[in-house]
Amino acid sequence: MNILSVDDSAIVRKIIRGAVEVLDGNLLEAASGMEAMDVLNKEYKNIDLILLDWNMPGLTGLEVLERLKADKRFRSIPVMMVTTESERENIVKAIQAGATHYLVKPFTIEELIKRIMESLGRGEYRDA
Amino acid sequence: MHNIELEKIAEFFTESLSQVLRMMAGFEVTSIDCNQSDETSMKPSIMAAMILHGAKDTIVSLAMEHSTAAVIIAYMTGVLPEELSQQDLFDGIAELVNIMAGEVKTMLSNTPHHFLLTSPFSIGGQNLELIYKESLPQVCRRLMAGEMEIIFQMAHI
Repeated sequence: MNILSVDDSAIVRKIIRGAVEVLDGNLLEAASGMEAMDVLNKEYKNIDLILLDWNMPGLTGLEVLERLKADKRFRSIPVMMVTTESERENIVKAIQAGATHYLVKPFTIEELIKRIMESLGRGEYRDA
Repeated sequence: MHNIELEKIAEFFTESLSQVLRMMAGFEVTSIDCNQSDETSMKPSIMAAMILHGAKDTIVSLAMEHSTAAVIIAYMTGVLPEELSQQDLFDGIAELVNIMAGEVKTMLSNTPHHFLLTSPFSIGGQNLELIYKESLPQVCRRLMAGEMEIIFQMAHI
């Protein structure tokens, strides 16, 4: 499985990398919305899931999400927002824009793994 | 300058930080007012801060020693402290401020104290200390988890 993490925080990408490795997946990284669009233009056929932060310099996560859903090449890739934005209004906005899941920071690694599995439609993850 | 509203909001921040540290790193944190505590021997070498835009613009900050930052970020990421780079520590503590501010933003969203987040930033050095003008409403708390110590500061600017 190939997952794209879009977050301006390298430490959050590192946390996500840990979770993806537990799932034997491969992580692609982008530190901004524009970087994410570059990665997607090259790799979209291989990406199974996008984990998207909201507050980033330049394009916000919501703007990236809107671009993804407006482009037929990327539209079908599931997107999980991974963000500190936890106001109901913003969650609704993201879901309406096409996010399939929404995970609010802070989270535990176990929770992240569980939500990644759900987003991929791969059932329940059980910690050994 | 003492300000009851700021004190209450600061309480939200320290509770949020305690919760984040409990959830992501497994630490139990206690908090005391800097003015009510003994002189600390802690010499902060890393600080992260964020400006909050609201009816009253505010700065929140966390300051600690590198060794404390390394332990916290190691627990958050699952990476050994000695394998974390300087940049990881700066980035991680900034993210801690971001998470804490995000939680409080939601708590205050339908109140006159609601605010917008900005990009968190970090500062490195020796014996770091943020000193505000005495006339500014401000709060300082010492947060302790075992032998680790974090200074939380908040001030209207």
